[in-house]
Amino acid sequence: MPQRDGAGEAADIVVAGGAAAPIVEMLDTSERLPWAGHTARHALNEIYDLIKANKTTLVFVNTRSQAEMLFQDLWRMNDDGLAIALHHGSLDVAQRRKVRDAMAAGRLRGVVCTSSLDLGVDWGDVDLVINIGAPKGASR
Amino acid sequence: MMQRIGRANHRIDEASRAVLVPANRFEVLECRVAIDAVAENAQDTPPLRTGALDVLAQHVLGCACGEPFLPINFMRKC
Repeated sequence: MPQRDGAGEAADIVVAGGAAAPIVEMLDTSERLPWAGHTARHALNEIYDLIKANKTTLVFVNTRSQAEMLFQDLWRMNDDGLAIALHHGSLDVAQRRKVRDAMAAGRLRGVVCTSSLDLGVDWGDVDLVINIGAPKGASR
Repeated sequence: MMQRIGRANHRIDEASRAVLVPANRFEVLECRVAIDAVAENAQDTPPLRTGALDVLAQHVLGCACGEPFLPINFMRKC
């Protein structure tokens, strides 16, 4: 609530501090960046290389269909047999649980997911997050 | 986006690492802005404050939709 001048404070606002500042970069693609479209297919190889270079990577996309497509593309090019999984809200609960457990056990190198995995994921040793497309807000 | 990138190294004393992949050239601008927002710790919800003029404009318009009024009478009510 906005506080009226002179009135007693109705509540304290606590701002958390002291956390390590995040390191956020933009992929500087060596491919030709398209003028339109949201698939980021041009960056497939680079996304794959990032997954390969890290222990566990979460790859966030904005829609379920995009998650399916990206997962399929990565799967097709997965010559190293990296353990890459898929997680979104239209998948069967048992399937989602399987992915979650495998991730918690550190058996997955990459998970392509929608916002299905953005809240409350404090298990699994995720060392990199990739966000496909522009983030639609600073907080979420 | 903070919510998402916070999934990497989910511990308060370790830096989260994230890579934004713009899918087209216009998204490069959006990604740039998002990175700047993270750097200054800006959130989507602007801080609430008193005396915001857009609220006044909304109120005047709302009253005018209800019934005609003279500015002088209106000012007296406010």
